[in-house]
Amino acid sequence: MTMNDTILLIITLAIITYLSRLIGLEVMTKIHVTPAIKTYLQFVPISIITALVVIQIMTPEGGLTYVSIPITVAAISSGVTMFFSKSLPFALIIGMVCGIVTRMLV
Amino acid sequence: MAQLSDGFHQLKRSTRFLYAFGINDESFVLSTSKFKEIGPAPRFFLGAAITFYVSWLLSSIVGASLGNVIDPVAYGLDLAFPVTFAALLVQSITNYPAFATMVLAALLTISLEALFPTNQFTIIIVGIVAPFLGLFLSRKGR
Repeated sequence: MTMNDTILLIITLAIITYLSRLIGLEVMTKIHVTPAIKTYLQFVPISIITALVVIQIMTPEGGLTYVSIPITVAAISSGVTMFFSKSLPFALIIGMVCGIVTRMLV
Repeated sequence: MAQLSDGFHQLKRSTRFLYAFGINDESFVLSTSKFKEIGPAPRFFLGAAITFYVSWLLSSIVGASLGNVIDPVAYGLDLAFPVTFAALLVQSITNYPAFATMVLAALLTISLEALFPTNQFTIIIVGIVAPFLGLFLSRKGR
């Protein structure tokens, strides 16, 4: 891929991503969704974020799937810190430090 | 998006078009949980969006110039993604149905990944199926 192709790709994806946000926001502002759909939609981000975290923890290697202990420790310590401190930066620092220390020990 | 657009209701259309640019996973989760707490707060969203956008730009510049020099695993940079999302997840677990949805989503992801490793449909399937439990429990609870 040449430099120009890369720039074109970035611009195209930027436009598509922006439109997906804009259309989502505008459609949701206009359309009156039923309470059931609204409740359902509330749980979509939770499900997807859970899936993303779990996939990060599970590392496939040679046909088998392993659980990464450092990533598990990092994710859990970050989550626990967030629960008690409600501070995202603090949770990220604690999570990273715990993960790095675990990686040194394991 | 529904929760976010509820918080943007009183905004002008042009302002909303501008705000749409700032929507990402981080600003979405932080704002929607804030909206639940204190009601619509578009300024909170704006602050979060600008913070994340600027740090994304700056870290992209750093990554592009130093990415080949340093080993991301040695510095634990590969941990940044799961750490961020774990924190965002905890922030969005505000009640029992949300907690149950998270548990089901985790179990579904583990099963799907064990059966079909590195399958890009896992996230989509979990995103469609797991919210039904949250919906069911919320309706039952009322």
